Amino acid sequence: MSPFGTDLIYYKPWLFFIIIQTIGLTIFIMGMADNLNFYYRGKARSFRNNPSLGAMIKVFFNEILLQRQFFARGFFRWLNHILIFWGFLGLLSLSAIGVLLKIVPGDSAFFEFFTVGSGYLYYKFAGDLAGLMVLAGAAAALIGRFTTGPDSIDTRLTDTAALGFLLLLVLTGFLLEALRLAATPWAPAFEYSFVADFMAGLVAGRQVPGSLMTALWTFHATLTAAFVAYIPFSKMVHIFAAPAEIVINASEEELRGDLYGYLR
Amino acid sequence: MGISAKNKIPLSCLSPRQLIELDACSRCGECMKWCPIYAVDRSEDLIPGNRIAALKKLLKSQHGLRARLFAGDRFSKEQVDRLIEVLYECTACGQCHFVCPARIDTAELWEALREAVVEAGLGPLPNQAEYLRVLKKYENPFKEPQENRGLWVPRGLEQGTLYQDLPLITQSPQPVLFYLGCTASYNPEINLVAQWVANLMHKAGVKFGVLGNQENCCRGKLRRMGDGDFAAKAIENIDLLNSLGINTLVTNCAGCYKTIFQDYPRIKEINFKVYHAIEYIDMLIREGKLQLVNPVPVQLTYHDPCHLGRHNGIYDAPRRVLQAVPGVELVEMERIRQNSRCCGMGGGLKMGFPEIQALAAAERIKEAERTGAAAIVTPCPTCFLGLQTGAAKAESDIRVKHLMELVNLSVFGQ
Repeated sequence: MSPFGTDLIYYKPWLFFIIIQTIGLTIFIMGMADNLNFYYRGKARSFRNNPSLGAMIKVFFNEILLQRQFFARGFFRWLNHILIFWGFLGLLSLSAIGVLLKIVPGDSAFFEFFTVGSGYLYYKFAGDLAGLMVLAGAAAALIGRFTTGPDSIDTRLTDTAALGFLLLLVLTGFLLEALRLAATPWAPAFEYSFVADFMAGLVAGRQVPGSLMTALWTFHATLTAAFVAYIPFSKMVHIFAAPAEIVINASEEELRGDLYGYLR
Repeated sequence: MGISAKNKIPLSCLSPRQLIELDACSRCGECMKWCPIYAVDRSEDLIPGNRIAALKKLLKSQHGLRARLFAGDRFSKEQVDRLIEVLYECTACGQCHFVCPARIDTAELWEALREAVVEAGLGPLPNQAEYLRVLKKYENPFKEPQENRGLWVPRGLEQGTLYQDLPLITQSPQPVLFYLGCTASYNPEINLVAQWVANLMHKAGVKFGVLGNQENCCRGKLRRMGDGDFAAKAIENIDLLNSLGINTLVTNCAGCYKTIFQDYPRIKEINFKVYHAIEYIDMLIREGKLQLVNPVPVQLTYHDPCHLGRHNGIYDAPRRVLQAVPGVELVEMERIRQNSRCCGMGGGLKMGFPEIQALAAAERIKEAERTGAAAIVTPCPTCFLGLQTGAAKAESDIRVKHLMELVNLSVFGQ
């Protein structure tokens, strides 16, 4: 049993999960393949000279990992985006670990570390931290978009939908975890899941039917699949296209040399 | 009625990078805060991010998965017409590139998209099409005969504004070619700028010549507005220039400079160095070949032309030249260098939307007025003319000066 007690307090329709995730992933792959096909129908030259690997690597660290170009536009602008970026990457990595745990042998060190060992606590802590980062970044971005004034950003349904998707995903994730903790006798390890533990305190003492938790779990699983399927067809595709553009531009911009001071 | 199949916009005019750029935009809104055209025409579809989103939707409706599965989204003729209008209501100044977190190379993207819509028979706008027709027919946009192109030399000598005769480089080979461009060849006010440059180069002992009536238009406007004939027309010029045996080409026009320095080598190799006149004069001053001895007491502000600054990184040379003029006090505007506000003259906007150009230039003039300077200077003849329009529009008393006039005054005292 994990330090968080048992996961078996409500029914989880895993078959539905597998089907819905497969559908989501299939649509994602088809969409991305169509995007790649679209890009490669361009016949003009992308690079004027030989690509500069050095410039691309430097800019990858500075503008993709550290996002200095956002910092140049303002601290809060940078904070919003870097919270979403690293939070999203964190959740993605934790999901990958979750998938691996379904595949690796039950007696492997990896499985034991993340299910009954201290890895479980770190996993829970990292999950809450990453979720909180996405929540804060997406909420701040949404507020920023609807801030009134002459500089307010022109916002359309697609912009709101993308941020709303992120917020809903993280909020339902936290809610699920909070309800599970609330239905389990408290243990010190709960503190690692610090956001969900706090939320669990808000619903403590109330009986939540298992069927409602199953419905919420199903909704969350469907939402994740829908989000994955939505990426190639929405502005969320920028999570792949923008980094690609940034590194290509770094190589080309080096020819002119006035955009990236640190490349000189 | 929707867009017809024969108006399908070809993706072949764009690079894979440019098609990725359409997806890289997250409509974050940064470009909206900086766009000089959106600042004066508050139509939301002019915002670069919105323009990208709309063009992407149109292209994907013709080429994407949805186009194949569901015959794509239907665009009405009015929607397509507006999209094309929006694509051309832009100076391609490149400001959005410099503030874009995804670093989308917008100026190049707009030009490639214009080429694609022209190939599809959807662009350019009627005024611009007429401008290009005249340009191709007369080799200049002023409908002037080609045999008048070199008349400025005898006229300048006669009027005493040009101090020395200039050899025709085709008859008397010289290492340096002074390339005027159309505006300096035919517009008397801008031709004075060319004469100042020629006088300064003579003074510094530069051996140079001109092409006279054999000089062609650089044809850069064809590229800016997406005319597919640009490459073939450019090759004619490249072959002519390569055959002259020169090692250096100097031009006083920022538009010609961008075309010859940046666009030509992408089409065919050139065998000479290219300088804008202000870079060249800066070099001559630093080499001690030109002495700026006469004071020109004036407080002025400097306007970075897009084609020199953002497009080619020439920010310091003009400022060094200004600082070399005794008596000049330079006060900078709020938006300078990479963030310099465009005067609205580039990208064919002036031909398609003259009123928007005047408004954009008026904004720049107001910015210059806020510095308290008596004059605004620029080394670009096109910006010089555009800012004059802006000063008139803003009913401003600020003087608009060409930078070469100050250098000429300081060197020759007149």
